[in-house]
Amino acid sequence: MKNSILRSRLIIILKGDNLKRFLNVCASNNISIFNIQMNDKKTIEATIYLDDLWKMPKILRKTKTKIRINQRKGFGFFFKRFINNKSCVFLCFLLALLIINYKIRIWDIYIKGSFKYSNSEIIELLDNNNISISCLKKNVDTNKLETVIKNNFDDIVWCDCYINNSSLFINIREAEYNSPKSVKEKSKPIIANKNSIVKSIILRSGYTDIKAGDVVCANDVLVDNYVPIEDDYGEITGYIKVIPDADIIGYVNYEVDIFQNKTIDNINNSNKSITLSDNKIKQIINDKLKAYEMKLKKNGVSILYKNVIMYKEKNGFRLSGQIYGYENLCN
Amino acid sequence: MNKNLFVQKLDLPKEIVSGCTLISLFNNDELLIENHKGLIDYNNSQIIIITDNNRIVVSGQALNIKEFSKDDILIKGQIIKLSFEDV
Repeated sequence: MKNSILRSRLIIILKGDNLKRFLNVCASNNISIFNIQMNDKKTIEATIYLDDLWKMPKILRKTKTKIRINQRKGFGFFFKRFINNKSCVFLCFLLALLIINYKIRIWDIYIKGSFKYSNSEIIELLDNNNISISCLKKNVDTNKLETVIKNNFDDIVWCDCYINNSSLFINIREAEYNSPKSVKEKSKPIIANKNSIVKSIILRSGYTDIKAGDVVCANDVLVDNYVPIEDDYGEITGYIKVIPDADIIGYVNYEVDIFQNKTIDNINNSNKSITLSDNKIKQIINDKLKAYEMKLKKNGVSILYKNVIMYKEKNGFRLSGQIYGYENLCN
Repeated sequence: MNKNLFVQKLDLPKEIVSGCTLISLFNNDELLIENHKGLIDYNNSQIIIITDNNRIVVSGQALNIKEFSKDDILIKGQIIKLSFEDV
């Protein structure tokens, strides 16, 4: 503080016959004098600190020197002038209001640790709970907010919310892997649902012995959920449980057996019956076959060829045979 | 033991221990005199300062005392000549 720029300074004019003596006495009394300019032999202009002025009267009397304050400088004098100005007081009041307004509201929201959910998703949730930028701090219940975030996002396993100055910080930790519980629940072997010959295998997780060209029967295990762990010598040392995932494409025969009667009874709940012509019956059977093929295609079956025969029976026509195609056995 | 010898043996700064005058001249426009004893004369062309052993006469143009305190005098202006006179 000794030579701080915040100290108030005075520019003084000294008049007298013993000015050099005055300067020497001031120096010996630890009074620092700056920017000494000699106007004439009996007048000098100099700068002193305000608190040094109170040490001077005795010296001034002793050296018969007269002092006149020419100018006041420094923060203290500036502040005094500032306080006297009404518009400045109003500005200070306005500034205080702005600061208070800044302090009681939230002006920024920081979200950390969210990878699966975007910040906009979380901010939308906050908006729904009346928490947004410029809302009052006292309206934000951080404990409640933590619970709301955890309840609305399944993968968020830990959440910490706190307010620091004018910012709301939300720290999130998401589940990085499937928990052992979910592996236990979802881990089931993939089982064939029909007889087929394996065309190709794409194994992503799990264990299988099946190769392309193998014959599999319905209810056979295609991919096991236990993967053996082998040591360097190829010996099995244990098993690890996983969620099996694979695409196994197999050739499958689909049996076709469509029968159409010649006569149709009870049309529109009346006791009338009509007899269809042969061509009409054949058309109906063909339509039914096309509908069956469409159903297979919708189920992901690619049809390679079909081997079906239509023949006449006593009461009508029958279409029977096989459709040959391939599909994913893991569905 | 002599004070000067003591300072010399211990390699201490003389101006602090024995209070001798230290004069620092920066180019020819700034002069700092430490451990002075007072001001004898002052005008725009000449400043005379008294020290323990000498009288230092600073001659020049537009000389101005920037700071004057118990220990230091800082003089600014165009310094032309610096001379020492016995007291």
